[in-house]
Amino acid sequence: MRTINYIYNLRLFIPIVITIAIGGSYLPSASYAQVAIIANKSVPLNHIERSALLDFYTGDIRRWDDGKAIILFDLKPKLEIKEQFYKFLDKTPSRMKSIWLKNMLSGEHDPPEIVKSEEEMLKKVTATPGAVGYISAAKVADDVKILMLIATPSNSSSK
Amino acid sequence: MNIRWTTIVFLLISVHPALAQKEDTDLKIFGYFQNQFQYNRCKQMDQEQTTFNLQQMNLFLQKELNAQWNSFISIEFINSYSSFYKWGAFNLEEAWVRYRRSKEFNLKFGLQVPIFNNLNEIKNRTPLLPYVIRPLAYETSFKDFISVDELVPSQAFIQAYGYFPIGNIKFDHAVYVGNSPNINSDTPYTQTGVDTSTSFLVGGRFGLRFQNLKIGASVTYDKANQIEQEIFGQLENSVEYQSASLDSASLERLYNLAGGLHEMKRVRGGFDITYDYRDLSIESELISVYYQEDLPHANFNKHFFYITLGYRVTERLFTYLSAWSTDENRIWTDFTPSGKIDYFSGDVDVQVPNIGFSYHISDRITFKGQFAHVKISSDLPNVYPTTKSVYIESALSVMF
Repeated sequence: MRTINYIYNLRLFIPIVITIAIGGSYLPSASYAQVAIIANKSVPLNHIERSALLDFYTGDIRRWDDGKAIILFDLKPKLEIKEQFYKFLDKTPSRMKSIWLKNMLSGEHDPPEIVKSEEEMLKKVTATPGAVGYISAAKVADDVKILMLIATPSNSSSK
Repeated sequence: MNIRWTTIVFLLISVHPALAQKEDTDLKIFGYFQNQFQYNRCKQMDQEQTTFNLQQMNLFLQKELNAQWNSFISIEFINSYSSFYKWGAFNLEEAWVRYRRSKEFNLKFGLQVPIFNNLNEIKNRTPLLPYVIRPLAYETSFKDFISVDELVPSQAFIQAYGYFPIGNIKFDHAVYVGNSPNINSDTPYTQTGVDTSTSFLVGGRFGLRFQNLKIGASVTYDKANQIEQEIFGQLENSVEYQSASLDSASLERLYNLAGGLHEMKRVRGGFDITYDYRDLSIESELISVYYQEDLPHANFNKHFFYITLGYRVTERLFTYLSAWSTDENRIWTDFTPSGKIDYFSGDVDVQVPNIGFSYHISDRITFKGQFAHVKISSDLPNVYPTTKSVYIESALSVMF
């Protein structure tokens, strides 16, 4: 009975949470620099949706349709391009890190390999079958596929 | 003896991880530990103490056997484990192999922690949690005054789980089976670690995820003997029983009472919700445990609730306000001065408002602080007097 009273007394939290939840959906979305989602040429996709990209990076989807493993790369912290990529996924780096840690510590899935620079990301994605990563659109080479271009304020189209 | 050999083998592996890696590059060895400093004071019990403690250390061995099969072992040391000093505990917490057919269907065989609500699976993964003392149902160090094992299932042996997406919503499912809680730990009796009954634990969780919202409902069913054993334990530890001063009618009455508590049907129900919005988060769980028993004046049901409101101040610093509560009904045997036995049941409540933070010093090192006020009260103050305690905790959690 005391537990029920206790829960009842916590009802004051509910309007706060609802206000935050509803208010959040009307806030304007952030703007992005041009980020290219790149993949190894062996990947059996030419285009990717944001929801699928999020599923890759959260470990919900781990294999391509042909059964081969999806190999993910991520940039080291504090790079601007990384922050823009995470904003696009609507996840903070710390939230994403906690998802990866949970996957790793429960034996489910490894986190993405961290690379130090966009140049290294490009090299790794080029050389690794099934790989996906992200770099500035200006740095993309012909050796990889572009699965998506994330919109920017000056160029709002995404491929 | 088994523990000793396991420890030796484990130490050989851990001292030479490079050797293990060379022989099989796919074997991964990793883990974490959390050292804690605690100050607590209880005015009513005239108790004050400070202590350092290696609260938790886990070692994982993981190997991908092929594209669909993965094996995982978790070894756990708690409370500054030392077999020499007889401190703490050493547990083989998990040892399973998983078959992943698709995102919709995974099958795990072997010793594992089953999915129940949001925290059960990860309750011991200290790097994931901002707490030093965890919400009560998951805090094994509070076992003395909370029936932790009764609130959440600790083991299963077969589990099917996965999710299926419909539009933007993902529906999570899990179904599992394991032993009933009637596990033998009495060495002279028979093999230890085995279920002494023919019943099973069955349970599962169904939930959904939509953007940053995750909710679910969990349930388990089994038949439990531990309340019967608790009564006999109280009897055997009593001065009256040991001095043989109890009359036979009283003893018969006690055996009849305990007989009514044999393999009691037990249903656990749980509800969990987590929601993140930008730097704010909320997580909450409710667990209720219902026993079916035939005693006229006894009730063993238990309830647990927690809610945590979190705010991420920076990428490194997370702060939270949290409130936990348990409400348990217990039974006590009573030895009257004339040597007769009676029993009575009563309500024990624990309420813990607390506040804390976690600070990521680096990707692998986290410093945590927590202040908690613990109030334990009962409607049987002569048996369980009201106590109020203050806990100030700090901890360093390290992954390797």
